Amino acid sequence: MQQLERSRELIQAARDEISRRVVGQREMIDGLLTGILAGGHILLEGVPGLAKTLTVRSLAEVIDASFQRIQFTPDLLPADLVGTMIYNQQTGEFVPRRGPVFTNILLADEINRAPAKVQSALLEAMEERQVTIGDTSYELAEPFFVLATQNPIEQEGTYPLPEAQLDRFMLKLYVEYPTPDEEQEILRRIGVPQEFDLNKTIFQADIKKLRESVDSVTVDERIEDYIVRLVVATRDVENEGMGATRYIDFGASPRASIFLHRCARVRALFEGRGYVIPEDVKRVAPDVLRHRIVLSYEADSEELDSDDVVTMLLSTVPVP
Amino acid sequence: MTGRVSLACLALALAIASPVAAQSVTQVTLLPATYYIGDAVEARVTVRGVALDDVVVPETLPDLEWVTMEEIVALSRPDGVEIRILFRPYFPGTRTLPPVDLGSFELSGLSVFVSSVLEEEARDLEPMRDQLLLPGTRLIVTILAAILVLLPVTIATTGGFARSLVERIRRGYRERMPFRRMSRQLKQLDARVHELDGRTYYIELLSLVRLYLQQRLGISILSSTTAELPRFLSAAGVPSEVRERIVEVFQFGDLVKFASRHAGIETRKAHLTEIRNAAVRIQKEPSIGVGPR
Repeated sequence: MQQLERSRELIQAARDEISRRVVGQREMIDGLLTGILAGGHILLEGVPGLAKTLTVRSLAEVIDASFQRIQFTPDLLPADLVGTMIYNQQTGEFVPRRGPVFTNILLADEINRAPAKVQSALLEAMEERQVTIGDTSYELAEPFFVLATQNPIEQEGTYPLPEAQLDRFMLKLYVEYPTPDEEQEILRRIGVPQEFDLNKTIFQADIKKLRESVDSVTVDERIEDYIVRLVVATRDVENEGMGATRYIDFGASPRASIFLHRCARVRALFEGRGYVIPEDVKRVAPDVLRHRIVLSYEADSEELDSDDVVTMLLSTVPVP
Repeated sequence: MTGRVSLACLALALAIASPVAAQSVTQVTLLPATYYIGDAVEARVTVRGVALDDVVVPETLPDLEWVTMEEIVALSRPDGVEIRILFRPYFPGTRTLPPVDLGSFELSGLSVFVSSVLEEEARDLEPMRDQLLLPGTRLIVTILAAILVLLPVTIATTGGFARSLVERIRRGYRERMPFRRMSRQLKQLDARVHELDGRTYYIELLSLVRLYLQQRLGISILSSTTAELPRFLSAAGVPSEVRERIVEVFQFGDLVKFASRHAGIETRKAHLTEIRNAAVRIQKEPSIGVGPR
């Protein structure tokens, strides 16, 4: 119980520290923390200027972790990401030069602007948590956490991530515009120079403890059943009885169930609870499911996006 | 009527006064004295100075438009014969019967006065009229026609009211049905309170309440979490004190279901009572509910 409370305090401290620099965006901050504690990667989608990069930088500062940022461009090569063998004239040998992927927190900015082979290299690193340079495989740092961003507008000259690769992101977070009050606060802060460092509130050891706390959160079998029913409902495209499934061509993979299960535990920990309730599952479900369902023509014709369909599913599947 | 009798006497006098050669008519009697069109009338004419053998009744009797002679009979009398002529007049007023040749003499100039139930005299014959109807036939036909005409009008004017009445009754029944069902099931659950463990008890209790609220309020409570419940109940117009009671039970139920919190018998019974009271309160407020019922 004490560990749960300590975990909640740590998480709250990290939230508060990031909020010193980032106004609002509570959902994004919680999503990022969820990803770190659940051990998953996150895809951030939002129009430019919503403090995506600032938030990730702030997170990296608050957590005692190394941080690298790569701007994905069309001429980026896999070697620019993972590293390459370079020739050392003094020794006459090829030595590995590790790329920016060797870090704890990697910000892959505008991931959809790099060609597929670069995306694949990154996604492989995300999945395998190791990269191969030359003949040698290198383990990536622990924790290894990729935050990829993409811009929903200006799609010309981009390389949209294929569904199989999208599935590797635990969460896809939509970054919303700030509220008018938050925007006023942003204006006030800009007027005053704020060149200050954030305090580190979560250290490497804390991350380990927090993950242990997440593992200690119990999930009742009825909650597990709810998670499975929710995910299966996305695949039940043959069943016309469920209103939302006619908008889905392909449903979520079992990875969705795993991530829902994990993220729901983290959400319970956010609240200082040692058990998951249906509310936890519902809160993380849109972030976990929105990039895992392929919408049908019918959804397009009715101008429904994946969030609308997930909302429909959530309002259809009975909670335990 | 007196006038008609006078006329009949006058006709009789004229008849008596008419010459019949050597024979003389001494008496003419019409039976009945007063008769109407279509009546069978017998004229008894006593003729003196004639023997019965001298009388020859004609085989063919005169048949005019206004009168039909049906039979002529001659009877012997001490001072002569009595001629009985059975005829049926069809025209009102004073008329003279056609002369009848009786062999040795001719009986003529016998005037009769035919009465009519109609005041007008000398009317032409009425044309044939339609078949007579049974008494009450017109009334029945009129009633049936009125029903046929008024029924659609009645349905059209009162149909809306009848429909709304039926709808009110149906809605009232449907509104009460979830409550009745839940009450029955709560009673059964209460009876099993000692048999069930806390988790199973709250799973059943909260499922019943969810189903009741969904059916009664028309909102999707089945897929709502405890945290969403206050918002939905508030939107449905559930009073805040009732809302709080329901949410408290749900929050405790979540602890029992998902966090293995112990729930004693007294607590369970108290929560069941809370739910029952909340449901009674909701039932008493017809305005509560937002969705289709």
